[in-house]
Amino acid sequence: MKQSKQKLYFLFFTDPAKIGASSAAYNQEGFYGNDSDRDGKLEGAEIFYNSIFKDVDAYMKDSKIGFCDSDRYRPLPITEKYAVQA
Amino acid sequence: MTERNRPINKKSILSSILLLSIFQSTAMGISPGIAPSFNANNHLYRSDESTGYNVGASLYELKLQEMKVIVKKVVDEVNAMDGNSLFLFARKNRLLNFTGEGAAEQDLSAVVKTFKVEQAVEDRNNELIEKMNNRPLPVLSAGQARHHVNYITDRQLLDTAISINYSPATDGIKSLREIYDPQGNFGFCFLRAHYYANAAGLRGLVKESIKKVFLVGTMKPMGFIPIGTWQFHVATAVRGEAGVWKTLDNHLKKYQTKASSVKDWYSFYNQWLDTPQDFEVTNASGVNETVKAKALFFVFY
Repeated sequence: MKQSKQKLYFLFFTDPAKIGASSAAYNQEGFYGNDSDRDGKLEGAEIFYNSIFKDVDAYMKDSKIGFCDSDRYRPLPITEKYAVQA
Repeated sequence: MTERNRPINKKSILSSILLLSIFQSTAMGISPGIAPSFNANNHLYRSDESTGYNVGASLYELKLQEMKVIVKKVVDEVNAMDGNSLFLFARKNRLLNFTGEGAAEQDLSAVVKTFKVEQAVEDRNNELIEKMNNRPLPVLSAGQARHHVNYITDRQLLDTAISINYSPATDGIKSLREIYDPQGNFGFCFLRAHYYANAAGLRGLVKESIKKVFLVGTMKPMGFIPIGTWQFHVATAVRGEAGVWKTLDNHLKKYQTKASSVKDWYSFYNQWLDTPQDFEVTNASGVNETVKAKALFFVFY
């Protein structure tokens, strides 16, 4: 079967159980699924894509949406703000 | 102890500061409640047996494997049809040119093969979408039900779709372009899908109701934009009203003004942007054949 020569960068994630809370996890080749040649390390264009995802994640980290925030699909009443654990 | 000599009550000062900040933040519309911490792992449910794909699967390879089976089946089926059957099939499905009569049997065979392959791929995609739409909504635990949802309304979908305009995940944002694509060579659908999956999760949609949807094929841009084809497009899909999977995608801006089901989203790309590819197989007689067909593969992932 004829195969496309184009590379395809997939978004897939490693087993969440294997990712710790450390930010170093973001540099693992499997975290965003950018190791398209599956050699176990990030290089070249793979680093490029990994960096883009990290930048967006950094933005998401700054965009805190609290449990009482009106942007939530089911915001908690403001009176319950201290009852919720992160 | 006189009034002047009373020690400063630090606790009361701190309490005042806290109350003041709460008042101010509430007045500004900012929730002082504890925000759920961001973790990119939390927004997608990866081990969903409904798709049949393992985490880390190569969608190109999966498509090639499936297409091999589809094309071979069609080729062998059509090769077994006689000339009259081919003609009747082509006429019934309006595959004949206006002259109709006298079409060469070989040409008819190729036309029917193309039609059947394309039909088989569309059927495969629509069946998958139907299967996913019919899956029951995930059950929320008592704790989750207080501040999470298992589907979102069309209004919530559109609000989330528009939120990307204020993020760095939009192609038009200069800072992103300057860093990653100063020549303007890329489309960043994968980045926008990543943003949307995170955005939906942070807003309280459970991850079982968030997926990426891929279109794998050879797509061309609309209009006369002089670039070549591209090989995949990805967006985020979320469970919407009545459990129907809806699309979060700002490609062409159309999905930021009207809530669109994944089925409609796929149909649009299938109809307007997909182009034919060549698929080579070995038929039942051991001869290599090439079938030219549009085959935009849809994948929930």
